[in-house]
Amino acid sequence: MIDLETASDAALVVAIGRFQEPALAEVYRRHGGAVWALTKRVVRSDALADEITQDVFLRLWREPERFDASRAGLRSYLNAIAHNRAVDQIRSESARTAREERSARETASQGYDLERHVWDLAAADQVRTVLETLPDRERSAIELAYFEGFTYREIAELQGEPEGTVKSRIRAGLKRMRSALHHLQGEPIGEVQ
Amino acid sequence: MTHDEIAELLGAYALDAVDADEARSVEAHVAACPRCAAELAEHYEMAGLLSGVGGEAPVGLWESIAASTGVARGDQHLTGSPVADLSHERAERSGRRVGWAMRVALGVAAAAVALALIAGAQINHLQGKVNQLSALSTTTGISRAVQTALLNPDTTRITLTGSSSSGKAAAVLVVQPSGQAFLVNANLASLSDKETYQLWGVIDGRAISLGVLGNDPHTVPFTLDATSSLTAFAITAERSGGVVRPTHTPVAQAAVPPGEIRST
Repeated sequence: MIDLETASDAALVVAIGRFQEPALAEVYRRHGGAVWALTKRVVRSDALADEITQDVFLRLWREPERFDASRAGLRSYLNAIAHNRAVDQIRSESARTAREERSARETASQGYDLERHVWDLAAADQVRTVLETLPDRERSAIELAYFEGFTYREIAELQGEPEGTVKSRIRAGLKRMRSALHHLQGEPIGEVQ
Repeated sequence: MTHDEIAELLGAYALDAVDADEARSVEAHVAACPRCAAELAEHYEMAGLLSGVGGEAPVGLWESIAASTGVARGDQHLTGSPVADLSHERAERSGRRVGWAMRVALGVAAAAVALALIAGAQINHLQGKVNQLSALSTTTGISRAVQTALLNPDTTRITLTGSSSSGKAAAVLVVQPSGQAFLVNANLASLSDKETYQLWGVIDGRAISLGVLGNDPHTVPFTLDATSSLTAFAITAERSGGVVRPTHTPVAQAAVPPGEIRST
């Protein structure tokens, strides 16, 4: 039995692959709150957030091999699945095909430790700061897409703008965020030494 | 799609903001284009940061997960773990989760029953009064107001689905606790000049007019009494100017689960 509290996320997922059930509980303890909070923000329903969060962790239990620690942090991986499910729930097209797998959202982080947690908190503060500095339309396009689950076409209609403009704004806004975060931190984001 | 067209979509794709066909196109292209794959990874990175760090894992939810995996029997290994701490809440949480599923089923059933009552229902323009928001009379103003409403965490979103077998969304209602509301992203076929769409709310089995939407609605403001016990929304096609009670089968409808619309 591995030491759950000190094991890296990657090690926990390996343990899950070996049907070590407590490893899943530890992953839930570490990341369940983040997954639930993101889902709740998108779907605005405690019950639905519960449902999706449960699905996310059961998926990890059934298919741990889908997590690639060399490509993504575990929290980002779980959040990506949760976000996709949440958006599917609220998206206007009920038949929208779920994207089965998502690529990495962050440079790999092999461990879970206090440094990582502190870094997460600091990054969240900086992201909020950077979001506020984006031009209004870029910020609102990103927020409407990510937190409200609208497609860029729906946002274009809401904002009374051409679809191409909204597409470009989202892309430009994300790039601007990345650049601003680099500037704030003075080091590549997403990496934990 | 060309490389440049795909590249323009990468940001929206990373936020799950493209439709299914576009998603497939992006995925096929990225699999063969290292440059786009690298940019997409960067956008994912930002999306991961947007999701924040969350808080404590919800109390009791673990029980539901454990019940589905058989993990609960491993709790002796997890001093201080969710399993050990929360096992006493199993019954309560189980009831809640079943309750949710039941609520959905019952909500749909309730909508069907309520909408069946529309044909014979009495209209009450005063009770369910719809006020066009004069302060939001410009497109720009409405757009800004809608966006503000959407970003309010207390706002309720209700998707009306079409009556056809496709089940596609016909429109979304955005309802603020104050009662100010919007019909947005209407996906309704244009009617002739002699017809109009009309929005209805069902309260205690009675259909209440919530507004005349016009023959080609997209974004329409309206107000409602957020404290009323709405059980369903519906849209019908009626003669121009609206009618006092619905005369046609709804073209779109949605059940409203109890407590879904919060009021201030």
